[in-house]
Amino acid sequence: MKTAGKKQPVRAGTFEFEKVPSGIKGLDDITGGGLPKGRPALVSGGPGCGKTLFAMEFIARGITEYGEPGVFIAFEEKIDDLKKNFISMGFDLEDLVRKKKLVLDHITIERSEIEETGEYDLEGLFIRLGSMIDEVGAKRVAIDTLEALFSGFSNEAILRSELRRLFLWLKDRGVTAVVTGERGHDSITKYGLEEYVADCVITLDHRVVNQIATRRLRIVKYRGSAHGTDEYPFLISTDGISVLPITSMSLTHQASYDRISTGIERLDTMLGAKGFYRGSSILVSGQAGTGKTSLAATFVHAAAKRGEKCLFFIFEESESQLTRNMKSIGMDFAPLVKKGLVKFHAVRPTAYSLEMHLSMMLKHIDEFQPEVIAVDPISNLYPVGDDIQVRSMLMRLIDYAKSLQITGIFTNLSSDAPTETYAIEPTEMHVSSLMDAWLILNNIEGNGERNRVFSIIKARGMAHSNQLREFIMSEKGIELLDLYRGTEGVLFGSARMAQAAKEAADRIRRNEEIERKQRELDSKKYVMENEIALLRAKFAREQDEMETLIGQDVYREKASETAMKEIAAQRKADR
Amino acid sequence: MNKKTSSRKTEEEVAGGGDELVDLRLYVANATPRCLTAYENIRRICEEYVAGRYRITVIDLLKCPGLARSEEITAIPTLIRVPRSPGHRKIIGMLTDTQKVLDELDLVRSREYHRQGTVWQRGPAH
Repeated sequence: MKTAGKKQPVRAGTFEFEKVPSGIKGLDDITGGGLPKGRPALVSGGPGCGKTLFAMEFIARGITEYGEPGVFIAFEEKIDDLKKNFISMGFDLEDLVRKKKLVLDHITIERSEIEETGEYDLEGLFIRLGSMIDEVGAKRVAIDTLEALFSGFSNEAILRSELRRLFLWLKDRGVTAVVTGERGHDSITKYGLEEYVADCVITLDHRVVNQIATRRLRIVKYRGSAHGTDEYPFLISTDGISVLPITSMSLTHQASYDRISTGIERLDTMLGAKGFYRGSSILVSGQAGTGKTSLAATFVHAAAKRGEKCLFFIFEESESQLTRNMKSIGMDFAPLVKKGLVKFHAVRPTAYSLEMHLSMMLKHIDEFQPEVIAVDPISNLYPVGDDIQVRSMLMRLIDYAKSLQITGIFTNLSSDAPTETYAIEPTEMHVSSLMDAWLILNNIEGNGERNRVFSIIKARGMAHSNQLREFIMSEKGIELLDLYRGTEGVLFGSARMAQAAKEAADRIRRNEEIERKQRELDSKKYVMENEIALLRAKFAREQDEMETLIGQDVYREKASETAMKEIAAQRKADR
Repeated sequence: MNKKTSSRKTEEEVAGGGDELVDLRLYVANATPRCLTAYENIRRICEEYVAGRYRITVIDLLKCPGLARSEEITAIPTLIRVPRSPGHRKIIGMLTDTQKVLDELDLVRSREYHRQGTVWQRGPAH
């Protein structure tokens, strides 16, 4: 079936209610738009579960955010108390009433003040409600808690038929209503109000598991609408309820091609010289003391230096402890925190339930709008929930981060097993499939020392180095160094250094040899050249002598010739 | 003055809660059978016990809906005696139980005085 434009497909035989945004954070995501428009919805829950807040937020946000005036009927709380309670949530009810956007009404029904004789109906309530709706032109009505009627009136048969009529009446009036009810022992509400509300039933729950209180919300029914059926954790904070619409997310986020540096030059080169993809999730696992936190902090520090906002959740240390420790490896977070680029959020894992942690984290993300988040370490969440819960929580967190193109770095403490090969634990296996990149830090024992070895197990969509590197932390920060391979295997730490020293010595020795030979050659050449010069000198001398001798001979010859001629002339020879 | 009148009025008190006016308000919504029955019942009771000293104001909330809030009316029909005093409760329903109505409206004193007095009879003791 094709869908035309943006319109929702309407299949034959089914119908989709028009929806009104509830104004409650997250709820509209689960319900695909909010509460059924012009219809009553039932919200049930035990005492202190947040029903009244739910109802009031629906009304108050309806006014302030969607311009829909509302009527709030309280059977239990007094108007002044309501005003006082909600001013701390940032709702100025007094002001809304003054602006004629809101009617607050407290209806007291005390059995001790009523004498019943004969049949009656609740038309007075309808008229009362009707007049208030007309007064402000209300589009929204909240009734908190309807059960109070049952304690006020004794004739249950009448009450039941009147409640049925009330829900129909609300529908007729076309107001979107939230009716709250007390949870029953075996039923959704104590008096079975859910029978009358066919369209939308939501339950709120506040339970304590392992001494940790969690609030949960569940949509029990929502006729004609697809909705998440899970229990969704929700938070009550100073700005009202926020439901976590996390499992409603899907794998539709846009993947970024943008790459961001890890803050460690050598790691960037291992990842194809560019670093990680923006919006990816990175798992750093390792045993105790392998430098996971430092690695995550380096990443965060580098991002903040680039001017990106980073949110750092710490489950192990306090903020000051972490900043102090990072200072020792050359990272100063203080100015970045001051500039508002880095925000730490340190909390004990056991302080809340998993859902609460997640809610808090999402809330902080919403508020701070970071580009990078770090969680150190996720393994500390395991005592709070089981594997599946932690995994699903992380999935929600990662999904959420990805949908906002937030890069996440998560550290995980693995059990200490100092072996040469890294032992992958089942829990890590679960978590790792959520991650785009997985870095491993391993402690290796040998030569009476422990050394840290770093490697990349996976990096989705990136060409990456398969080599191990030695992971070194110093006051200059983190460095990744090549490993030395010798005849006895890979060398780390001091063995690597010894090897390096030996190689350096060898190199020097070789250089000296070359120089020596060069010098020898030079001197030989000198000797040779000296000899040549000597020979030349000798030759020159000999030549000189020879030439002198030759000259003497020539003279002598000439002289003898002259003498002969003179003799001949004297003899008067004819020739 | 009060003492004087009260001592003089003892006989009349027996006849139905003093000479003060029994001012009643009956809140209804339209002339439904239930509301009509309630009206008839209260009128009968008043005629019987406080004849000539009562006033029943029937208020149709549909005509003045604002009163539902200010007077805190939830159930219909509701009968209230004015001015309201802490002892007076709202009576809701068709007012079928005469004794309950008498008790609630404080007309019951008449009965008690009857019992204490010489005449044990319904109605004026002349």
